[in-house]
Amino acid sequence: MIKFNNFLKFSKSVRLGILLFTGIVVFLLVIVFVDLFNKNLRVSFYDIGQGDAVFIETPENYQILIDGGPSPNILRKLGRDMIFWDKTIDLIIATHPDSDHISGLIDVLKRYKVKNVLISPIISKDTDVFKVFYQAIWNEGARLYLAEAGQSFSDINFKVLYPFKFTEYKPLGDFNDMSIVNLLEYKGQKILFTGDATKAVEDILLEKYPEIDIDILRVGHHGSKTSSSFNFLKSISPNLAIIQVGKDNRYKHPHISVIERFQNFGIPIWRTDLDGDLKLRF
Amino acid sequence: MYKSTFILISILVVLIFITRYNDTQIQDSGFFNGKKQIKGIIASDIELREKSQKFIFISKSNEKIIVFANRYVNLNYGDNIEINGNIEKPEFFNNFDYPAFLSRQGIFYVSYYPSITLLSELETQIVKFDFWHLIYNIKNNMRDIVNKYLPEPNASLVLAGTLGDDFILDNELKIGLGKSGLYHIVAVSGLHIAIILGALFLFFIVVGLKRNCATIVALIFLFFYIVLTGMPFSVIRAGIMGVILFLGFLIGRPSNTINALIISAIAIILWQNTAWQEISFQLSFLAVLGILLFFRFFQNIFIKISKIPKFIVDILSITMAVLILIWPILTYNFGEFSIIAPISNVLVLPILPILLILGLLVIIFGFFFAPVAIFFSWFLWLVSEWIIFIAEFLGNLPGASIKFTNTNIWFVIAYYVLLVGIFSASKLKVKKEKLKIYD
Repeated sequence: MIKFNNFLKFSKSVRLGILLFTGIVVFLLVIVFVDLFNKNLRVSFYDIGQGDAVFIETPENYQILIDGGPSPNILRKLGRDMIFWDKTIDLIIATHPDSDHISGLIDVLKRYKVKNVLISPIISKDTDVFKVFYQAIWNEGARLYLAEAGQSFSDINFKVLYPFKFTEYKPLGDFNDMSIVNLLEYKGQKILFTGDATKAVEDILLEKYPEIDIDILRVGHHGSKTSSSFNFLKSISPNLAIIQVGKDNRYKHPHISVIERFQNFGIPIWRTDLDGDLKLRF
Repeated sequence: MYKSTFILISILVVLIFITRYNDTQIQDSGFFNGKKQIKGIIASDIELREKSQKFIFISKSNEKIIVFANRYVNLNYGDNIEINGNIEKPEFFNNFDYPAFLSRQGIFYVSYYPSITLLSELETQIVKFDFWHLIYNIKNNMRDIVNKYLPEPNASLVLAGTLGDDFILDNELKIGLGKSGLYHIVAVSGLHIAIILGALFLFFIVVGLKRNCATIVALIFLFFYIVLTGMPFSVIRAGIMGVILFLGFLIGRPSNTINALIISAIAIILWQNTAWQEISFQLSFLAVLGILLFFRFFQNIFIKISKIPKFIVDILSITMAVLILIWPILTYNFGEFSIIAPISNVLVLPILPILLILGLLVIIFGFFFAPVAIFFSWFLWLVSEWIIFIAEFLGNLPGASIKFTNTNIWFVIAYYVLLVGIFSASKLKVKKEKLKIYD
């Protein structure tokens, strides 16, 4: 009560200033607490032009970024989804060393404290972007993992399905076919991320995991006709397909035949170029 | 109109007329064109943009080339590099005379995405102490600090606001700021200088310096700040006007502000003959002229028609006064101008000082003591978030800005002539009424 009387003694503008300041602090605290007690699994598929970027936040706030798209736009997307003081990411995955997947990751490595990096076992590609990417990992001091089927990360069931050990399988020559394939399983929902993997990899996956059944498929290679084969779709039978692709891209992705294939199976499609970001909560 | 003002305006007009064809006298050597392999050094700050990095390259034979390079190559000021690619003449884009703009800086060539090889250390010349190297280094450290504590797009807004780095803004925010009429907050201008000078002065007074001492120390820091921002015309203009007004105040003969404005224009044109052809120069001068001529006019109107608080009236009147003079220039050069500007400015300008001061505090403490920088950065985040929200929300409203295609130069000239006519007629009327009273 005494304190309140003291408060009234201040002039009007000082009182207003104190109230405003308290209001701002309370507002900031509310934002922080809402974020701390958010116990959902959040998976965001970003619309970042011609390229891939998926951001996963687990209930324990383990943050995973799969690919970073072709530009620094990924920073705005992350800035909008992460709480403002959070500048660390637990794991980034570069599915394969093409520039539309790793360019944005360079910006992420420069801006954020990245703890772990998972890359495809083909570690060299003779491009400027790849050299800078590798240098950025080096400068960051992140722990570097080479992907291998069976690895798992975070507090939820998130594991690597492909590529296998070189001793078990002869590596396929193409960079796209060395893409890391991930499976996320949470509360009975299964999400498959296939990078730019083509039909060749899909066949291997079917052979190695015959009982695989998926709920949500992040469509391989931006909906190119070299991926998402008939047998693969028939076998994994997703309930939702997400195509990450840029508007009017020069590769003419996604291919019309692939879209028709999904439609024939009655699988709804979410295209980031037409529908924007897709944010899922479980 | 004062006699002195009339004389100064005449000098200005003559100067503009004399310097009109000056830029064509600098001829390019015609040395480059086509596919070339050239060695040289990076001679400017690296502008890291959304899709590229842009810098000025000086070849060994002293030709300047604007290079747009792949964003994902590590380059620095002073690097010895070899570019290998097409060297082209610049071209018009969106109605903007890019060739003329570049030729005024003595640049006649551009190169888009050449392959770049860093030459080995052995080939790098041993460089003496280089002032700009130091400045760009400090600037890069400042950028790193803000990027460390703030997420995007807040970090780029703060950097653009405090250092004038508007090239780092992403497209979404750029368009939002443009359409909501807020782009001026990311171009360092007299407003920024006034805010920062005021804050510095207050800080040194609070620290315990005497008035005169505080003024001098604040001015030294301000000079350093101006160098960091790359000295745009608006800042030089503000500086010259400030000195003239201050000197007038010292010798006890306060000078006419309009005269100070015209003198600063003359000084800049004498220093860089073709400066008046730059859009930034035109906007800066017309904006100040608008405030000087029409601020009172709009203030009276707003006070008469409503009972809104004084500071809102002031911001509204300033925005209207500026808009009435610059909108033809904006439409002529950019094809559109914002009509929602008065509202967005009322919502944003009151907290611009907070953004600038918090931004500088975060940068300064980021160098010395991180915990304080982190503490300030939370509030900085909130303030920048508000500005981004206003810019993108109001900017994306339908009808926030009006589009004009192919504005005629004669229309622009006719508008200004008409405006001058109406303005002087109204002044004459006022004078006559005053005379009547004296009769």
